[in-house]
Amino acid sequence: MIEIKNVSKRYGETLAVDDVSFNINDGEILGFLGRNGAGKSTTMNMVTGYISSDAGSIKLDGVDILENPREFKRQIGYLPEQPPLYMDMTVKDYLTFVCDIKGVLPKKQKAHLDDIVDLVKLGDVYGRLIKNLSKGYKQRVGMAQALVGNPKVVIMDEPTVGLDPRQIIEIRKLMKDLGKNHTVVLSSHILPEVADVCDRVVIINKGKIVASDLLSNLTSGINQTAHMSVRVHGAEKTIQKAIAEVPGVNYVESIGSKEPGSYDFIVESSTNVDVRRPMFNALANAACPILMLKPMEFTLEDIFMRVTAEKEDII
Amino acid sequence: MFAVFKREFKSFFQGVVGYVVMAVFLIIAGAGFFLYNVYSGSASIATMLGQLQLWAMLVIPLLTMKLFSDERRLKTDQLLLTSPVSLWGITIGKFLATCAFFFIMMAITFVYVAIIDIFGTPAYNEVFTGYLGFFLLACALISMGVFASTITENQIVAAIVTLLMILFVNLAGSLAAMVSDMPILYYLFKMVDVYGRFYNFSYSIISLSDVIYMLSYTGVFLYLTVYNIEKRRWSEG
Repeated sequence: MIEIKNVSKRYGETLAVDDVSFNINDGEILGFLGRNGAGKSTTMNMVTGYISSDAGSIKLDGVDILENPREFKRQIGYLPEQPPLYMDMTVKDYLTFVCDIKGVLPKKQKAHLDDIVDLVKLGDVYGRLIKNLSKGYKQRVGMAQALVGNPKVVIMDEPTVGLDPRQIIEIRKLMKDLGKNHTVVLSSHILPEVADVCDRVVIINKGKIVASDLLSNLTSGINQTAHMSVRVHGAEKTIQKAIAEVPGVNYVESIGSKEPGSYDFIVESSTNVDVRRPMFNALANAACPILMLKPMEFTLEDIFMRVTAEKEDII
Repeated sequence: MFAVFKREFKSFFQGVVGYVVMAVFLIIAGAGFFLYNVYSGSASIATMLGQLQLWAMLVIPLLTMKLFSDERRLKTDQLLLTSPVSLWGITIGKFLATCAFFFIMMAITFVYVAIIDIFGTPAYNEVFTGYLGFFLLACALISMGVFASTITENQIVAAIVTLLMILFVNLAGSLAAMVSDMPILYYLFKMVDVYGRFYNFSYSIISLSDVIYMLSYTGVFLYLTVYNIEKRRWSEG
């Protein structure tokens, strides 16, 4: 487990990271989110040892990064936003170099690299110069380098940016697979990706942690009243009246017409009352068939917007 | 450290700069050999080495300019600094790779000594001390170049700074003579006068104090290199 305690970093006048504390638990896939300039990259750079914090401590299983940096870094694989590739080397030479600096024994290197190359699908370009590779392949070499030495924790910053849709799906699958044997930290702006891949989410805004919880808690916790959206065929006023009269419904609002002859409504009810059946019956009695009914839960996007809002844009 | 050494050494042979530098160096050596030995009929390589030493001033900045500046610019330093390798290991690896490349360039000129040997008798003492001094001087200048490459992301700036530093120490001897009545300044100039020590070697003198001076000089700049990188990590990343 990585314990980050009271970590701060100042750049001149600006406090980029302000007394940040959170843990990265063994075996989890953690999503690390924040707006641009929130302190995400700075925090990750400190956790991987690229820069040093001004205050606080960072420990991996009790090993302090400042006291025993080599032992600490041996357990971390890092894929930064810009993969640290040497353009004048071939993929094979580069990964062998990474093996050497990560301390993989020479006699084990070939087998280890073969495994990684299979996992990340670099077999076709193994002998090519990195500068001649496409963006997708370069990204994969970056991933491969993060996996060398079989580190306990793999930290990835925006790993799917610039990849084509098929490659994105492959990388997401890879991350989930990695999560089985490694601790994974994923930093991304693509919220659906984080929602899909991660178990837990930490959100940083203006240098401070503003949310840190299991994804399931975050999305259902805010959901105090049941939300749903329903599409009904019929006259707007009739439908609205019929739904409003159903016991347990607190709020009905029309959001317009998406299909000709029908209207969409947002319906809010109390959590302990399931209004779906009474609403179905009420609308059937009013001769207004339901065309579509779906629950609206707060998505990660809603939560993100809420916790990273500026004063001006609080709705 | 060895991994960094291997990588850096190979990369000298992959870009254009390594080959251009070696070509220029060997052309100068060849021209010098022709002028001072073949044409003048002299068995002494001292003058040729003297010429080479002047050109080393231009050549060494070109070799060292990309060492650390490129790592910062291309962000490959993120790989090095987040891996379980020490800064000293990285620095010494890069330093030794540059020295090894320089040594190879220098070693190719041994052929001229062999040629002199066929037609005459080279002064072996002079050859040995001359090359030894030259190599130690090169190590000292290379260490200055390594340091200069940590102060900027721009290769050209690193090269220019190295060149200026080398020019300064080259003049330090003369500057010291000019201020012989001001003890502090005189001492300061004498301290950085690595060329003065080098000239002793070319006079067939190997003095232990000169060797230790050259090695310490090199050590100081390598230390400054590590210090500079470490400082950046703490202040701005």
